[in-house]
Amino acid sequence: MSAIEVQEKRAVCCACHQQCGLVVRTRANRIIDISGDKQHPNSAGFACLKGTRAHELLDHPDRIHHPLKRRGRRGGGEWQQISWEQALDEIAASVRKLTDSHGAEALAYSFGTFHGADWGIGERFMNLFGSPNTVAQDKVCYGPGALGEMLTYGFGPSFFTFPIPGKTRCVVLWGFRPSASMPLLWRQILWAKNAGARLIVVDPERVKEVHQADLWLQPLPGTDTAVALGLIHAIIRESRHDAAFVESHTIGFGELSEHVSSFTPEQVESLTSVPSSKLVQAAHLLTEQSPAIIHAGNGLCQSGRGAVQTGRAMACLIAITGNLGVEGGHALTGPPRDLLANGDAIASSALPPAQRNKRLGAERFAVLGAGYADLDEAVSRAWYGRKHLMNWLSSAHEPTLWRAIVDQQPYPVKALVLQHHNPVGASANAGLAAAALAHPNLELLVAQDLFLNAASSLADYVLPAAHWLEKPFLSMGLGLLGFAGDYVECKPAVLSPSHAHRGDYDFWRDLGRRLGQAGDWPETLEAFWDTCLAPASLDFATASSRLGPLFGPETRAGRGAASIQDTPRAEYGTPSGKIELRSSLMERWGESALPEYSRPFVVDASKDEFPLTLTTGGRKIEGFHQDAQLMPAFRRRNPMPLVSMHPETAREADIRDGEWVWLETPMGRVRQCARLTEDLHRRVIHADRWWYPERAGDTEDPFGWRTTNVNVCTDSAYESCDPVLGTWLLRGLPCRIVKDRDTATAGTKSERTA
Amino acid sequence: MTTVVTDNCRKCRFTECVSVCPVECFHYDDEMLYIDPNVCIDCSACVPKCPVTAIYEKCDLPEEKSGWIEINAARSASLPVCTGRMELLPGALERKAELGF
Repeated sequence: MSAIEVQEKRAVCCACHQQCGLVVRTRANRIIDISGDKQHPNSAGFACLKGTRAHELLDHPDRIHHPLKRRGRRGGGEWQQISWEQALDEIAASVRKLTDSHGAEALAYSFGTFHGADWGIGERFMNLFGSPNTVAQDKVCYGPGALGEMLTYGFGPSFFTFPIPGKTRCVVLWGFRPSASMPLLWRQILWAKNAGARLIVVDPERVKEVHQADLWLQPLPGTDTAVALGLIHAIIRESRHDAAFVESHTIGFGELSEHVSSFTPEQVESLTSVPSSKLVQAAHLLTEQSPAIIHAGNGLCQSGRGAVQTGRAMACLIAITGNLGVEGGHALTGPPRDLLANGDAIASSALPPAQRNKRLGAERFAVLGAGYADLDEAVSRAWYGRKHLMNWLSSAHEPTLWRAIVDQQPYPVKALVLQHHNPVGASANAGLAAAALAHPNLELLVAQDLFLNAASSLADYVLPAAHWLEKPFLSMGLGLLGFAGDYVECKPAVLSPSHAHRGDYDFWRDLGRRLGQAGDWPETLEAFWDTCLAPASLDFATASSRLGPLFGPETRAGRGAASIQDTPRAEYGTPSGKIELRSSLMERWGESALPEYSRPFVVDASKDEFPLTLTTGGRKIEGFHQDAQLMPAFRRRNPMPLVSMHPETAREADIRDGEWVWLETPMGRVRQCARLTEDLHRRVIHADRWWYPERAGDTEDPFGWRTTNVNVCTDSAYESCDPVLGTWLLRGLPCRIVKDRDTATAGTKSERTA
Repeated sequence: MTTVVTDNCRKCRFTECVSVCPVECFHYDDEMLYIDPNVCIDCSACVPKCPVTAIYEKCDLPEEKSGWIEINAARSASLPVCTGRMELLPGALERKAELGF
């Protein structure tokens, strides 16, 4: 076929986790246009603007096209263009030198959320190399909720289960706005609603979903566990729980009943600001309309100290209402049986236990250290004897990484590879992240990214990343994570990488080949995936020929006598094999065995000085994490950072809509533009994560993050983190707002038009 | 954010937009469609599908069409929801040509 002919290709969108089918028209390795694939069985023609305008990011004029080596001081903006070969040779030599002196653990790797199907693949290199320090965002991205479920019934998250129209009779959306983050799920919920399902929304903000809801609870951010315990109390008090299910499947019900006895509707109202009558109404609706699905969202996974207990409370609520493992309720799919997903693909077992025990955060947070083996063994018993199934939520702890660089405690980290991750935008306490990245103790910083940003611009080597349209696709549930069980979908790359763009896989393959892993890295990503698919008697080409995913029996090899499915296994992957309302593992780790309520915690926060509660980073459909700032479609809609508040709250502080104001927490302060809305609780403030790509050259504040990014105000102190998983504090902080008397009006016009 | 249908939809009503909408936010009268802002999720799936460029995101809406924000909100509240493709209005193709599409 001639290169100038128009080609029509099928792809799967990687602009968020939903994985909609796309039809992409190309000519001469360039995108003409992108539209939703009407033939795709999951998305059926739907694609949002992140997908249909993905080429705006792909063809962005600011993209990095060639490897760059720093000249002059770090962050000085002077670069020398070099070849990939030179970059890889020098990086390999530096990694070898630094780890020879300081141990393999002195190398860390941190990657950003889904940006193509090879996200996180560097963990394979790290495990083979002997470093336990792969850092990921699981701690604030469904990890706490999933862990709460795993501790309770041995797998999770089940929160993504799609409702079945006509079967599911109640849907609860809790700290979750699927209309922005998972539109295919929201579409399905509306179908279920049209077929008679009721909808309960629990959210501090009147989000889009509230307009469709039968009941809306509006708790203060960070008080969700109290709401959940209140629901459990109200349900048990009126004997509305599923007694038969509880009797035959669970242990610890009596203790749970006693534990929640103080969470009366009145008490819950005083803790959460949810009226007692509404709480009781929710308990009635949830139990009268079953089966139900409780979609506990990421809003519940970012409140630091109590995050895992929140997940535990949700799991207990799901279990006592008998909504687990029933059609139309929560599906307990488990991992794939034969596909080589999860920890195996990233060679988890290659990491020696002595090295695993050095994982950053292991000495402080149970699941990152000694508790990992307990959980691994328990979960494995129910799921075909597979190991490392929850490997994804025990990654090294990012706040500990920053301290290991700056303070060299518990040991020095001397080299760091960032892939498609901008911690200066995303991390709690952004100032600490930036200080660590610029610190002279960090002797090697490599960033593979699409763009120069506040993190990659500090690197010693910047490597040009391939955009997801330049990479092949594979999903086993969720990339390598496998939430959806026996499920795989593949597609070849739409474009060949242009300029010197390379995939995440290519970097690690070439580094691995230089550092003793020559036999572990097939030449192409597709060939590597062939090895993951082979145990299920599949290969990349065969799976790619299917429009949509293969699932269920199609992904099972049927190995006759050797078949794992015949092996006796526990019903639930917990130490007891039962649903543990009282968690034996939490008890073993010295934590409350019953789901305990605690408020988000900030050291030195005075309630009088900071009377409001801050929540941050609410999702918008037009953006996905840090990439949003670079997307023209996002910036047209969002020209500046907004801090949202109730008009009454604004009036008390003499603030008008559109004025620039200071948002302050005990951690710091940033300036954002006031947006007045009655959709928020009067005591709650919502602020955007933010930075300005166009302000790269600002010498006072490169990329504008110091003055605008709300993560200057969030916290990663150990005392604020979840004691089991290490989740840091992004939502639920005490705060206040202050009128910016100097620029409130003057700044409005100039910055709005900037 | 708001997404709105504007005057180009009049006398056309192609409903390509409805076929890709995930949330049933379109309502109709005898002449055209309107978007319910409380239901629309601003995904923009419909915007490129419209054969007569009648649908705009608020940030791209020409000044002279800004009145359509109010009209969409008000009209959608009282009109029936459009759940699938509808018949073209008579003369729609001529109207499309007239509009230069």
